[in-house]
Amino acid sequence: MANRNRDARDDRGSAPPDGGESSMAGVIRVATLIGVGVLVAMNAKMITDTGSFKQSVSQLNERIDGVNNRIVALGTEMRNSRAAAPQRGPDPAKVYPIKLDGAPAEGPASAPIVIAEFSDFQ
Amino acid sequence: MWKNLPLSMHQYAAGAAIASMAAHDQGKFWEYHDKLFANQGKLKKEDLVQYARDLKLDVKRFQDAIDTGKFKPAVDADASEADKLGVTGTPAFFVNGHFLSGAQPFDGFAKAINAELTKQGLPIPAGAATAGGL
Repeated sequence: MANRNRDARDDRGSAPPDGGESSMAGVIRVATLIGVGVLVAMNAKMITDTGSFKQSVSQLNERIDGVNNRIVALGTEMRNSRAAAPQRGPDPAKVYPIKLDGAPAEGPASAPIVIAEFSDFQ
Repeated sequence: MWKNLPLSMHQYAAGAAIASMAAHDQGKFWEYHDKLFANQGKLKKEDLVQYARDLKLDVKRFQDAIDTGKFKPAVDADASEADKLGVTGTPAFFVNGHFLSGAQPFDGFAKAINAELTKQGLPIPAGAATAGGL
């Protein structure tokens, strides 16, 4: 009885350390698994991150190209509008009536060609 | 035919334009015009009066016209006509109503004039065509 008791006590006494070791190992295994899982996940994320990083870079490059093209186009537009500036004003293809009354003129009023000059003296 | 378009950026252009019309009033527009073109750097009021004196205009009448702004309405009418036509710079030429922009080379006029003569069935004067390379 006493023996059994002791055994039982021994069992009780030795059982917890056994159970503790096996649960520690279990915890370590689980932790290791989680760790590995996290590493795998991080790695996978790094791979996708690298992928999206590359994508971002190529998108940025595209946008830079777009901006470059726009600058070139604006430059061309500016040059063209400057070149076209003397063309603004009256349409050379049209005939405009010019008032003759009282304007200083030379030559007969019946002349077939009338040249009007709008000008100033300075 | 002369139309006044004194540009606002030219300080003395408006006074000169009015003075030229005062000379026109005395039948000497083109002589006065030539004077002003020969002296484009000297267009102050005393200069304008001096040119009238040089051309033997009636100086009192000339000066009165300037002082009272007698011909300002005429100059303003020209300028507003130019504005309506869309003319913004000088010189601007119209050959029978066809616009020629800016200081044109001889060719520009030759082409426009010859085109108008042809349109009216008139001969192009000998020598006129060659200079334009037409």
